[in-house]
Amino acid sequence: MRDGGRVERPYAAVLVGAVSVGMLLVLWEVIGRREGSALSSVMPPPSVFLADIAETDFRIGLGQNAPTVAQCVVSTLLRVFTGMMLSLVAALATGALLSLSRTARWLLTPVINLLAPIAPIAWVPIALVLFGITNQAAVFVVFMGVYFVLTLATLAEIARVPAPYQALAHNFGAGRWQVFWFVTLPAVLPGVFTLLRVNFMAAWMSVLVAEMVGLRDGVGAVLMMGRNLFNNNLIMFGMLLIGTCGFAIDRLLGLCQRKLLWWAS
Amino acid sequence: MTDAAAPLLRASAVSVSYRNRAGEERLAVAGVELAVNAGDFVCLLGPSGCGKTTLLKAFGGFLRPTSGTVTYKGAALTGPRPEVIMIFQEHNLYPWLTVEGNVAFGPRRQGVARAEVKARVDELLEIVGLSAARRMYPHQLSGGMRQRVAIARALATRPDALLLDEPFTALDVALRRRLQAFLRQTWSRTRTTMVMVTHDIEEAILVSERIVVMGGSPAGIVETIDTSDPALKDRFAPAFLSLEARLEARVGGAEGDELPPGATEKESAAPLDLSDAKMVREG
Repeated sequence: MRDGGRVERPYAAVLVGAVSVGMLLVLWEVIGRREGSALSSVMPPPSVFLADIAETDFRIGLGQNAPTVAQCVVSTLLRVFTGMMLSLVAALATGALLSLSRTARWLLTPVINLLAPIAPIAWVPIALVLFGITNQAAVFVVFMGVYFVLTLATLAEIARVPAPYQALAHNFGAGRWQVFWFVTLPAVLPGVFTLLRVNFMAAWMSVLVAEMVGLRDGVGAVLMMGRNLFNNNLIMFGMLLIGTCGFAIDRLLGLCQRKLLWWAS
Repeated sequence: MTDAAAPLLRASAVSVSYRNRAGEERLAVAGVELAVNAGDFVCLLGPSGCGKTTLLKAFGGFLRPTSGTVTYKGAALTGPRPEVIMIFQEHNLYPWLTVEGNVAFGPRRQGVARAEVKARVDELLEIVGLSAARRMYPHQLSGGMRQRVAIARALATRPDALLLDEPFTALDVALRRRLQAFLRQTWSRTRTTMVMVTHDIEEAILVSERIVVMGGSPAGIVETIDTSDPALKDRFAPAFLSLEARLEARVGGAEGDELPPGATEKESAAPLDLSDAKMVREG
């Protein structure tokens, strides 16, 4: 790849990125360790809050039944991924059906266009009313926040599939259903997946909000627990957890994109 | 019902008109009579925008003539059918499938047994000389390899006829010569009927058994020439050169500088060439 005449080196980019993060952590430590600095009480440095969490065996909250950090992460991830998978499948199905009928498209596209800009977070109040403090509420929030955007993306991608792809399949004797399953679907998947990746951040944040305002477990609940107990170590740990998980999942989705949907580029 | 005695493909009094952007009807092809027999290799030759591709699409069932009929083995053609496969100017290989997967695509959709699909793929990849590339993806292949895969893929459904729409136009001259020889060889090996659209006179003489010269506005068949004589397959033979000169005068040069308004045949190729040229200059 060419960028301003210079060849991009992926390893160099990773290295420089790691150095940058490392320097930020060192700076945080140095300032936080100074006696009487305001930062150390509001934003205790990693060595302080990690040691504090380690003392409680990485359990969040009080008592024997307090969930472990791993349990918190798993329950948040399950909510996000269930919602995203459901919305991906539903959006592909809706897009496919709408691409068959122009009238249906005229009828429903304005509705979808109205609902798509509503951020996932905006669905939280309704979700809590409809489902109460349950996992379904979190999944609902993710689904509603991602489904409409992905449906629009699917429609746009289907319209962009080169016409000869389908004409040829038809010529080879493929039926309508076969053309969709073996040609249209693989042709649109990379584009739709890219949008799924873009919308992951919004879905992730909305689940955190749902966990902070209602649900009692998950990564968002760690943060709220810290706030309720006036435990700044727990708050910092929660924030670190959110950042790290979000980063890891984005990279994972990127990897999926390259390995499973190689034909995109 | 199909009729074994009838020609494989036949156009009777075929006219096709298009509505252009201004909403006016424009007759692209008028009153064409053409019969293609099984095992034939016909080239439709003429300047760009003279309706060659339109006629080819009608033969493939991709468009319905405004008047007249197209028949396949005596039965009216109502749409594309697997016995008559079209090959476009662009290779249109499926980027998510390997070479093998692309070639197997047609037979698999038709429910051909696994072992039979594999046997066909093996045989065709051998014919097109790409057995070593079977696990590669289209983006890893050169332009010539891709077009060869496209031909193998089209042959995998064991069609009676291939319809080729300027399949080598996007390639450079040397490669074009090699693929022409390859196509002629494939034809003599498989005896698949070929109908190919081209505006390259040399190409038409070298590969075909019969040249159908098209021209005029609206377009019709101007002349039909038998090119099965082996003497015409040598580019330096006097017979070849005199026929080439005659066609040159008739068709008016390979590039066909008289583009009628609203002609679409070559529009996709022109910007492609430009971008290629730009890349070379920058690199």
